[in-house]
Amino acid sequence: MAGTMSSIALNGRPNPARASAAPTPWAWLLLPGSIFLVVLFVVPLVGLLLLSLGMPNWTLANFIRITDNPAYVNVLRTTLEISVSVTALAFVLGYPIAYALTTGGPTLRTFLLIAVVLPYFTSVLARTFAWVVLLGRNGVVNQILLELGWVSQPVTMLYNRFGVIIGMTHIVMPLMILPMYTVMSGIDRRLLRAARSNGASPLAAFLTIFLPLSLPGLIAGVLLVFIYCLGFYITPALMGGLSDLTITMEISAQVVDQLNWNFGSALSMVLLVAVLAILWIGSRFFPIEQLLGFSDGKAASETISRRQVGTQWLMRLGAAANVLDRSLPSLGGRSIPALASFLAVLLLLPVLIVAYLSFSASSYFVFPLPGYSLRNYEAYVSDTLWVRATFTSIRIALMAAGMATALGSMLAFGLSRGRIRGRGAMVALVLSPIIMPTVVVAVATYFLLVRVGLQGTEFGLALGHAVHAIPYVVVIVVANLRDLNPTYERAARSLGAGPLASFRTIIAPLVMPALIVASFFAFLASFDDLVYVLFLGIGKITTLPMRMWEGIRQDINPTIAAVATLQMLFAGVVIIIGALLGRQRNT
Amino acid sequence: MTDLMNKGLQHSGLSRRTLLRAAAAALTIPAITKTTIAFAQEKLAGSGEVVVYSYGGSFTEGVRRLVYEPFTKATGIKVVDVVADLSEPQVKAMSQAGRIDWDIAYVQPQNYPAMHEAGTFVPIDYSLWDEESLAGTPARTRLKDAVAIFSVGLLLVYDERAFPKGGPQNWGDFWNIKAFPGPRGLAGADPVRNLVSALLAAGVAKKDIWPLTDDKLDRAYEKLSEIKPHITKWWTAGGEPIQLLINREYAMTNAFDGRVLAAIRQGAPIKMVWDGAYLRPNYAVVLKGGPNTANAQKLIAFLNRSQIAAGWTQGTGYPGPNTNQLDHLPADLIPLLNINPENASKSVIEDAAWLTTKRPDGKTNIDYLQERWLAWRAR
Repeated sequence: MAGTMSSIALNGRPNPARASAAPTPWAWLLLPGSIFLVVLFVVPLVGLLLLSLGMPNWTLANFIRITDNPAYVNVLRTTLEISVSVTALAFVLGYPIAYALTTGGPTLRTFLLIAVVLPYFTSVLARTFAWVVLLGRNGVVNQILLELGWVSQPVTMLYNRFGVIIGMTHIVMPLMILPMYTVMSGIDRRLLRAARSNGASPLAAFLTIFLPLSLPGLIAGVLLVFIYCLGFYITPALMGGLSDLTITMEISAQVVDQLNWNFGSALSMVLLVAVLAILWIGSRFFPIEQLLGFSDGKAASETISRRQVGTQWLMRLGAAANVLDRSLPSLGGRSIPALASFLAVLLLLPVLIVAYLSFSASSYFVFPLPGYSLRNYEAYVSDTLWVRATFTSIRIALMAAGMATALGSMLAFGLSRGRIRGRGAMVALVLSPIIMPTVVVAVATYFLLVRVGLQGTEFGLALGHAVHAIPYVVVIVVANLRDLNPTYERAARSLGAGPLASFRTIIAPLVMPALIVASFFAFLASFDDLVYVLFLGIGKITTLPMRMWEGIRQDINPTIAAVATLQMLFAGVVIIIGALLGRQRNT
Repeated sequence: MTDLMNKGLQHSGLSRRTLLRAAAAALTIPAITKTTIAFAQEKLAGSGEVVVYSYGGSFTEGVRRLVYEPFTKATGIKVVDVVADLSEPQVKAMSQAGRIDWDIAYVQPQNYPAMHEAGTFVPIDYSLWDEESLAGTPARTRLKDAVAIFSVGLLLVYDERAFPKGGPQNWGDFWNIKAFPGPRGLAGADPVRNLVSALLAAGVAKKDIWPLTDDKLDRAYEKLSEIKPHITKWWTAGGEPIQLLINREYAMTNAFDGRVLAAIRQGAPIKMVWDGAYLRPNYAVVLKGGPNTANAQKLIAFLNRSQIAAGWTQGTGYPGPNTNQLDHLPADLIPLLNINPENASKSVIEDAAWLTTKRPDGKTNIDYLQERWLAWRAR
């Protein structure tokens, strides 16, 4: 919509080219975040990349090795295949949920939010085991299928591509849905009513009005999920098939097991270049930047001709939808909430199994439970190491989320409003921390922190986490700034409001939902981390995910189910309180 | 430990002798602590702390209870754990940065030579060791600047419930789908041990395993391709194969002996097969430039005393090299340990020297194996 606004504005102006030449004051907001990223990400990484070129004995051997063995290209292809499938599935399942979140009542909204967010809070092992309970050879689904006589042999649903895709999609849902939700809730629904009153069918109104306006959120979600998928390595290892190796698994093995950091960084370089190339090619076909809401400095005529083509296309689509809608049975507008609720129940199933398992009396994960007991909860509460790890994680995540939200939203405003040269490069810089495998970034960051003595400190770890969290904040905030009409601010300013006052009264309230979601993801990016902590914490910091991971490596212990359940309970309570507060404000 | 004995008694059917032995073993611990206190006051006493790498989880808890606490009581030196998945990446990072924050790390044999050549470690001070510790520890486990801290066995295990008439007895049986049907598992990240299992199944004698020449590798991969359709999944984390056996996703798999031991202690219906187990030592090293090097030497000397070594084994399931510890271990535990001479004699011992040898193209043998495995697996 801002795309519309800005192109109209540009059209009215005699020489739009002038605007792109001089950086606007907004561009200054790019400064703090850029410095932060350059110091904490670019500098250390360049050092490591020089290593991949064999510094000081320059060589391309590490890159030649990659091309020599077809396995590496195979692995990269597998990674991309999995990432694309998960992104597509998450989008197809996520869009109706986001739509229902936006249009549904407060009760439905709270339920959906809980269903979307909770899976993120279960530990990876507990969640994997819940999938075994559901989809395993002797799992619930196979039992039902056998009982119904639909199959004669148990169906293999785990330890193959299907298993990885299901497991990963389950986790990335919030990353897909919440950016779409924040953008969708900013859409003026009267536009839909206007379309309907002018004769558009519900489907036509949706396709021609709602869908195009929701594009920024959609693109933000797709972008984040796709990049996030590239970094998966524990879930594919636990749920994948015999040949489902991802590039991050291989890079991690090179860094951690083989200690071949030169080769590990060479592989990461190839990954980074491949992904940036895919995004660049993608941006030729889909105007990603424009859709995300970066005000564009391109010649207005091009934009307008493209818009006209787009409009014509939309009109045709709407007409076709009108015809289609007449032949479809009507469910009286209930179909979307019903579909979303059904999907939400599916998302919640593994989560509920984790909660059920946490009351196990057995010292292993067994289903059904041999007996009920609270021993896992007692084990958690009575163990000072667990409790201390919990507080450490929360402290670090709060620091990281604070830094990332402040710097990331400034970057977002700068990118979105400031007209600067080389914005494409800036976008690449901002996205790179989540494209690069964390293990490589973590090693690089360690070398930086150790110079200033910050290794093994919580603040140092939070700095590393903040670098990793900034991309999430930027993408989510940028997608929402698109709908923030600059004329509101101009109006406020012309009526005498200072910059601060106009920020406080106009901008802040309008972007607040996006900031909340962004800082939520920044918090989780830190709270969930298992890799930075190993290098930046030098073994002296123990976080909750680390305790849980020890639990997988050392013992299979249902205590983690109890910890996961408590986390989910906490997340659920926060969402419900938020919903209640929101309702109070509205009444 | 009491847990272990209860289980042990249930399994062995409560003979009077086991009961007495177990009781005697339980009684030895306090007595030992007393004698070591007297000794340590002469030789190992000190002050301050020592920063020691550990794996976390129940491993660290066991070591803390049965080794570190007696150590602190005897010497006055506090032990600080630093926890990570593996210690080598951190050691490498610290050495490159020139800032060593740890004192003791554990290093796998395949990573030892490079770090040794880079001068990362200080020599082990064997003059602090007791006569008894030196006598009980085979010379091959005592290097100049590293000492075996514990040995890990990766062995064939199976679900008793799946084979009521008797399970597989060797890797040949693992490959015998007709006689021993059921889904299988193998470790996914480590080619060497799978290749050795395949060669044993192909009939190669234990003494002829090393070196893994190309013709042997071809044979091994042929064998692995044969079993691949019956592998449910490659496991990654040490606790995973046990869990998958319990859930019947696997009927048999390889697994770490220490993890299996812990599961059997808790009553899991799992049986160990020692024939063709793969033994790999893990080295303890004292890092050059660490904050408390002298205290590190004392801890290493202390934990190799046979009584303390027995405590380590009971706490972790992974025995250290001092064979005198057998006198201090409960009799029903010994058959489950890789330090049991009977089990050790059935096992293949890793040839780290061959694995770390450089090939003509500059890659080490282990790098080469890893790449070939990746190519086979990703196919």
